[in-house]
Amino acid sequence: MRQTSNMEKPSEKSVFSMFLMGFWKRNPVFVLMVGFCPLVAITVTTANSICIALVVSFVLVSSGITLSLLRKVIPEEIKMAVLMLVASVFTTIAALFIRAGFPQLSTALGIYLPLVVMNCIILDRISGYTRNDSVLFSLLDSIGSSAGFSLVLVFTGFLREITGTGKLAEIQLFDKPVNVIALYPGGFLTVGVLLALINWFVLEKGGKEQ
Amino acid sequence: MPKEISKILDNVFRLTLLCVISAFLLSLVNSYLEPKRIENEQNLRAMDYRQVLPGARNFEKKISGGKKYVKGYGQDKIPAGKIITVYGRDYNGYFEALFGISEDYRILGVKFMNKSESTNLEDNASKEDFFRQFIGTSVHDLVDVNNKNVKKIHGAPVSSKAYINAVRKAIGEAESIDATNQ
Repeated sequence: MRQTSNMEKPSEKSVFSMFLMGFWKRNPVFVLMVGFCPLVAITVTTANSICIALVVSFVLVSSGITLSLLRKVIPEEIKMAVLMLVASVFTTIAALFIRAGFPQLSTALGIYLPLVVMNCIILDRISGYTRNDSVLFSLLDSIGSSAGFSLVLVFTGFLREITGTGKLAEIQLFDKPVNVIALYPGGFLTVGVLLALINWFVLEKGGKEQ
Repeated sequence: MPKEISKILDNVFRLTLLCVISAFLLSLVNSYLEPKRIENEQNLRAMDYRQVLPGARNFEKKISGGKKYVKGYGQDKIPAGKIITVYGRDYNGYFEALFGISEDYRILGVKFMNKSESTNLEDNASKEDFFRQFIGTSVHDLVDVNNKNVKKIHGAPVSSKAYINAVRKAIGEAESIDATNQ
């Protein structure tokens, strides 16, 4: 797992390459292999996937900035407690907002909405922001990681909704969908196929470059 | 004071301060969002009521003989029927369903309330499809679990039986509420 404190500072890297690091080179799902719980459980529909992606992005970016600002006043001994506190506060704010504004979506996401706080991506990324990363680095890294994770979530949700239910946004596209894709085993199968395709693409590209 | 104790107290102070700030922030957000949440939930509930009792415009929560129900009224406050909530257990776990029942004990609409966080093979849409066969049915036609004329959900005999029992329970409750009121 990557340790952010070992990374170069923003001045030494372009803004785009820092964003790209979280988005692609260290993609939470395809490279770090974290965040599978919402990926498998929630990506049954595109709407659910977009919602959970927005919540994870909000929590990651807000926690990143807050912890980066607080890093000089948090002693090592209470660091973990503060990480959890900050992530919980932002997750609760997001959950309250969704429950108030979109009650049906909140019911559909169920326990996975408050569970965002325990998401490995959030714990992995924000633990780095309390070391010696600047606010700019934290912001760019969290935006990159959020964008990478969101892209995978939404794409998986889109694929599973079409193949598993035969619908897209409640519009019936075809009869006889592959029901198993909408269930948990289908989530693992879809992610497995996507991982295989990404690995194949990366190996192909690497082979051609050599 | 020993250095260790002063460090512990310092950490406790910092953590307590952060907790207090967090609690204050959350209470502010909650006090702003809570009225909106209540309003949205009431609107959604009213939509569900209108869906299961199509002729009703106004709804009133009532209790009769220890049973809770919702009475629907149409134009000029003419009673349009009752909405009975039935709790049951199907193959996937517990469910909550709303049944709209007319004054002559015919089923006017059914709605499943518990939207699961995952999709099951028999989702709420297929359950509601299954219940459509009972719309317009009266208690006198109903409902023998083993009746061959009653279509079951394909591949879900346990759940089909549970839902048919829910229909019977809803109509039974509507009758018993009226009996108590008389």
